[in-house]
Amino acid sequence: MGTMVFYRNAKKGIAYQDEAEVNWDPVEQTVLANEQVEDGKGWRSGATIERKKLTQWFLKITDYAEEILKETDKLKGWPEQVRVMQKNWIGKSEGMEFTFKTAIDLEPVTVFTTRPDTIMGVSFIALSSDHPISLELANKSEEIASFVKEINSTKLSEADMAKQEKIGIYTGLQALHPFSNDEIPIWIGNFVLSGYGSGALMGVPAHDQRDYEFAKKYDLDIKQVIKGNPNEDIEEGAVTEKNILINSGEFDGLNFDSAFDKIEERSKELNCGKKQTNYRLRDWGVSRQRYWGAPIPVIKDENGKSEGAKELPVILPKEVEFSGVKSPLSDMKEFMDVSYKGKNYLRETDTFDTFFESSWYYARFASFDSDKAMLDERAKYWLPVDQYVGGIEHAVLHLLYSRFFYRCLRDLGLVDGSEPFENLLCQGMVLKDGSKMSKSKGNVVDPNEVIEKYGADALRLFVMFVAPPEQSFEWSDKGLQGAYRYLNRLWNIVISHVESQPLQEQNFQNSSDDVNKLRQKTHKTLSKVKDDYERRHAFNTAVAAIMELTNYIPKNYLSDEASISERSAADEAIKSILIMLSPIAPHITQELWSMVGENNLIIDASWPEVDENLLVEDQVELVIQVNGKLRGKIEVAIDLDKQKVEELALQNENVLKHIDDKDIKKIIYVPNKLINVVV
Amino acid sequence: MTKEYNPQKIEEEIQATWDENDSFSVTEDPNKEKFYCLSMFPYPSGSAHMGHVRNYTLGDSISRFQRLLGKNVMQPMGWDAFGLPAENAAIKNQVQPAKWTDENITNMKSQLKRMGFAYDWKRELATCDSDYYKWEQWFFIEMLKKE
Repeated sequence: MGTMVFYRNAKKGIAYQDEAEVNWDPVEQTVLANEQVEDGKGWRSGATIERKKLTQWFLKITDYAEEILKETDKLKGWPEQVRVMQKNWIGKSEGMEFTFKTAIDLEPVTVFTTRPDTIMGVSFIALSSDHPISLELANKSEEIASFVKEINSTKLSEADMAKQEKIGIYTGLQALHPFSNDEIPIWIGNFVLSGYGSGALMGVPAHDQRDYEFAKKYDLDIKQVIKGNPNEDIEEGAVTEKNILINSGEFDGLNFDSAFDKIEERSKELNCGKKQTNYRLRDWGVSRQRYWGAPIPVIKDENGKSEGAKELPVILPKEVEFSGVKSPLSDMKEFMDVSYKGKNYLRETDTFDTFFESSWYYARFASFDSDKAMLDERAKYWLPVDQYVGGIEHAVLHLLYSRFFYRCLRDLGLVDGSEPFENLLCQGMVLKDGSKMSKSKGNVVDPNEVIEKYGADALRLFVMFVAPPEQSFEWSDKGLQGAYRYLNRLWNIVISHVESQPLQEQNFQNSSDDVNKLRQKTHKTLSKVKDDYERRHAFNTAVAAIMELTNYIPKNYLSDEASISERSAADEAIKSILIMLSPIAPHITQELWSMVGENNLIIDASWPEVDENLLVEDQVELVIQVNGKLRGKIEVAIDLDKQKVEELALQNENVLKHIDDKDIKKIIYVPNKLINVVV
Repeated sequence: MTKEYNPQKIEEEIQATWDENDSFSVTEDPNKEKFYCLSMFPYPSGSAHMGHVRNYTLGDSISRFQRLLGKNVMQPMGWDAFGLPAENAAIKNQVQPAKWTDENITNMKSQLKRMGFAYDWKRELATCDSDYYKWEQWFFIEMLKKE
């Protein structure tokens, strides 16, 4: 490929130039972003978009692919799903590269495969439409030229490529099988990725379903070389599972691993192949032919040689004139013409992919006002981010680029460690009428209107209470109103509390059982909510527990007639509720916090100490069985001795009924769980 | 002293108190355990939607909870301000992307403030600000360098 390289020799040269495909609008005469292409047509011109190669800037993220991949599993605070997506995106595969000599005077064709064990089953070679051989043939044959043009007219994502109908054209050329020296036909196919491997693949119809369909369509050989299961029929489809080799000459009878070794060994001898690790991940193309982005700080001298800008920043002009879709920068001589120390340069008019900005902003927050350096010592204090929260739609690119940038920052000595985000929480979507809220669907609920009617706290409480954070939820006006009603109830309870006999300080002397029960409930709730918040991020169940405690406070504890210990237990419960709820509903809890006589702000309060003694259960529910069948339940003191439990069990009417007049043979007692009377 | 729950009134009062006290402004403190909580910054597209509300309420609740545990909590917010929508709006409506973006930031910031999020606003950044992107230009030139 025509490559302009200026920094590739550099040991640490992460940035380099190469050619890459863009969407070209032939009417607007400009490059379009993927989002500006709708069904293969320009969003403004309606013209069919062409693929065109332009010289662009790349970052060598592939240099870090192995490190990033290896460390993905160490991200224990990330959702499993995101880790898997990251690993799949990097897409490491181990296999072999084979070289097929071509029958005529062309370069040999190199292919990558993860199934070298199927080498003897190759029955065609398929090239991408921009493989050098395809391009050369297109110059000679009109038929091939028009086929290549047809494929190239649509720039497809990998996923779309997999879905489309597989079509191809025979080139009339043959390649030589490296082991058998058989002639293998060379095709050009629309399913061959130009970026993956070398833009060519070996077709093994018997053991790859896509190749199978292609072979059936174009009547190519289907040669089975791997043993199938007894119920598999090669007439029905490809045999894709690994198994013993057959019809493979000297490799017959080997399993996958030993075939791999043997074939690798023979390939070395024949100089036709080698072991190869491939990554699906490509280097990151950061050039965008757009105006509203950070200028790429590069200038070109009169010989066309690129170098870094001499002076920073390269400021993006804020007043520009748009003529069509094209970036106005490329019409601005005052932006493009640079002169430095008597030499003239031309400034780069491309801007950075906006993922460039979001790959390091989290670090800049620490050193937000540093004008001496990108980052300073404060970044080492604050980073990594302890908790990152955001949508799953950023699970691949943003997070991967950030992990890559962080390592580059590390290599420059600007940050410590290797990972930018310790814990990651990906929240679900907010749905209305079953689908994501969007203006085009007209199913949007405006937060401003909700706040105006119910306040921010009710809205906050509703979105936290309605579902676990990772799950999507359906918007519900009723749910919102429920949150609002709860806040009103809490408000009224606290008003009743403060309007009753004021409490000098909490005093739990002479507490009744009921008072202790409320206290236990308070402390258990404190303990549960802390665990829900901290470890599980289960805000919904935490709120449910807080609401339950609110309802548990006896009304008479809030009145003048209540005893001091009753008033104290109510006070303890209310203050605990306010603190527990304050992260979610910070305003109402602050207001009520002042009302109950606390002078500091609730944000400066501490999470209340949990009294462990109050967490201990003193009663336990015991199951009574007769001959192993459930016949009753009793509440007993914890760790009650066997004799007492037997007495209580044998007073139970239903139990007595089932014992009837039979003899009791034995009584089995499992403390704090069950008692079984065997008759 | 019977009082009605009037969320709009108390919310605005309390937000004013937080502003006056710089309640969420934070600095490094080696004697305290730090906790850095971050929600993905938004693209300033116009106004905040329910997806933002959910995302940022989660981040804010975690931040406020960690503060109750006695940690030195930083929760900043900024704007992922470059990108195509500003440019498309410019092409369609003849408005400068910079102006369009600034207005959207102003609008969304007031919405986030009205939600009561505990952000350290002194750290606010917009990626379209040259004080921000000059450092990534510097970084890019570092990445070009041989060593």
